[in-house]
Amino acid sequence: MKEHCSDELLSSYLDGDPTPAEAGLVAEHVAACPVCRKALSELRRVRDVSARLGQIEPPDHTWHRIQSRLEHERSRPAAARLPAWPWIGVPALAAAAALVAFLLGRWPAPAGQNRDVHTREQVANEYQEYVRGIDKAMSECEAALAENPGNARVQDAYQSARASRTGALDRLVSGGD
Amino acid sequence: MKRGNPGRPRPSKDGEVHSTAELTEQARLPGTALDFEDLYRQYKAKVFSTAYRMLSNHADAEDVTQDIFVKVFQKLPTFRGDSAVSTWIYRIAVNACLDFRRRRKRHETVPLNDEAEQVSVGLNLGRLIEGVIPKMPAGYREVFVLHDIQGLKHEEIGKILGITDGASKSQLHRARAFLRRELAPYLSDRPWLKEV
Repeated sequence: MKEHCSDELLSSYLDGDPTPAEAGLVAEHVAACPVCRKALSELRRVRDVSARLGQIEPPDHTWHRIQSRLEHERSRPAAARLPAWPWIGVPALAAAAALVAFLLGRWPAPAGQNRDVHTREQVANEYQEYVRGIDKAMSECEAALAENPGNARVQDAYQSARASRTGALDRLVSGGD
Repeated sequence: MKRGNPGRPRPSKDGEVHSTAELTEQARLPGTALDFEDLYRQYKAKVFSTAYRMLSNHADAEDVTQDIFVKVFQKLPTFRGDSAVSTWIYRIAVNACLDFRRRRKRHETVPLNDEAEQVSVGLNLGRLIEGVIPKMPAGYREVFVLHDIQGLKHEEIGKILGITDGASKSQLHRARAFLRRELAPYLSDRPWLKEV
């Protein structure tokens, strides 16, 4: 190696990154070249001092402020916290309503004994009400989880509500049986 | 009894008594016995140091540290253990710092608490390095802070920053070369300079 080593190569050499063959070439060059030896020594010094700069503690009041912010979050209305759950809530309700409206046009005409008392509009309305009820329950779960994300019981209730909602929509799609 | 908890129960608007500590003690890291306050105490200095050195300003670092721990709290239930807790927290921290910098459109030239101007007082190499960090190009700086100061491995840094190990190493070596160039007058002519 006739050229001086770049600082990047010397830094890499310091960390033991080059292959043994490359490292051998660098070592040989550094042993013979005072310029690169000085550069290597300075890079080592910079690296070692950086490692000793240490951690800086945040001000004591930081914890209090974090707690205040969490408390403030908790006191906000559930609707204001909905963006944390973008895939459910209002968009889900709108999607359910749109789906029900779409299916109204496809619902088979009432037939047989059971359909005598339920027009297709009535059945669809019942499902719509049912899905709305589930959505309301899910919203309440979201609010509770925003206050206490680790609450396993609420998490279970939320999953159960989601499953009920999916099942209701599946039954609606399959003809309500 | 939690250490240093400020949370004496106090009445809320709805008349119920809530403890500020209650909220955080109930939030646990899934699969561990750590609650949110434990996490805060364990990682506060690491997070604040990282934010301080990435943002070059004490007040901004404090604001962002609050943002980071609020995010950690909100994301606790979603932590799946795919990475180490420290990697997960650092990822949230670094992303918050980068977002903050983008929002403020602040350039990388703000000295750390005017350290650069204060170096003549109590001069030492550590303070000189702190003064050069804000001048480092973005990209170098994150890797340098995480590796050489915070002591993370390139593999972890790759996961945090979404880059390869090789890219992390390359940025680090450029950062050190940059530091050496910036500090050349002090490194060459003042071997007596105290280190930290």
